[in-house]
Amino acid sequence: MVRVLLVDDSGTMRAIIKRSLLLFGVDQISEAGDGRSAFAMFQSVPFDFVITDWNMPNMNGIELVRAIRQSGSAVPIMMITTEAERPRVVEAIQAGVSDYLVKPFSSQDLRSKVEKWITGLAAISAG
Amino acid sequence: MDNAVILSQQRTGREPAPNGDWVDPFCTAVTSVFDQMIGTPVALQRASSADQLAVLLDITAVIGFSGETTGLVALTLPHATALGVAEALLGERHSQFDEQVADALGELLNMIAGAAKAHLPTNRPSLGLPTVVTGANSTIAFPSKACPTQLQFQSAMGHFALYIGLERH
Repeated sequence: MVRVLLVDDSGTMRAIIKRSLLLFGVDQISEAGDGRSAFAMFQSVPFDFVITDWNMPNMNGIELVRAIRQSGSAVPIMMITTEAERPRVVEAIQAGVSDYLVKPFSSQDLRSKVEKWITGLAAISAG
Repeated sequence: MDNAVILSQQRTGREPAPNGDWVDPFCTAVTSVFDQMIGTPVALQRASSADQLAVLLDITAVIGFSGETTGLVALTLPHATALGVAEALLGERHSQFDEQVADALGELLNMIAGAAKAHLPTNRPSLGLPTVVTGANSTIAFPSKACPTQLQFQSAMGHFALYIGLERH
């Protein structure tokens, strides 16, 4: 069973991403609207996969990624953001992001990214 | 008729031409966001310069730019268009404006602004967080040096407009 932490200040974007996760049988989804509350949840509950936005109030997505990595966790983190410029992508990867998806995206783009990670994580937890 | 033809025809009129720095990036961004996130095409109906004090439709999302490009971009929609767009994004019908509809429209503008900023003729402006306001015939004041541009679109959900009030430094 894959447990996902979904972080975005937009409830709309969380709903869009959640629909794709549910398609792949992921129903253990915890949601947070900013990096600070997400990191608090991350410290108290184990997660297999983190999906986060970049631009959020309080703690932004890059700060969240750095905090997770500094805690010693190697959990896969996918960033879904409007930040499309190359320096931003490089900054995210250097911070420890595992995968990156630029908004706007097609439902097919999102589903293929989600499928890649969820099927991989499900295989690991089953094995 | 493609967008370039529409703009070319409008520029033969008497009104000032819209700011070309903004038209292409934002038109492309609107088209891309509607196509990918909502699954419906949009058509640019008109691109023109706008007043410094622009009159808005029923529901308006506003986002600020800072850095080498500063100012405001506003997405303004009639009530019916706003509800249709929100339904497409949220996956459920809302019969009237509420917090979730506001969030959907704010996120829509956030994606439009984000997609456009990657193609602006300046380096890496920063985006603020979107704000959504209601009230037909209310006005928005753009920065004094912004030379605002208005893009009017038609979609399957109805018409809407994008105001671009940005200035380069």
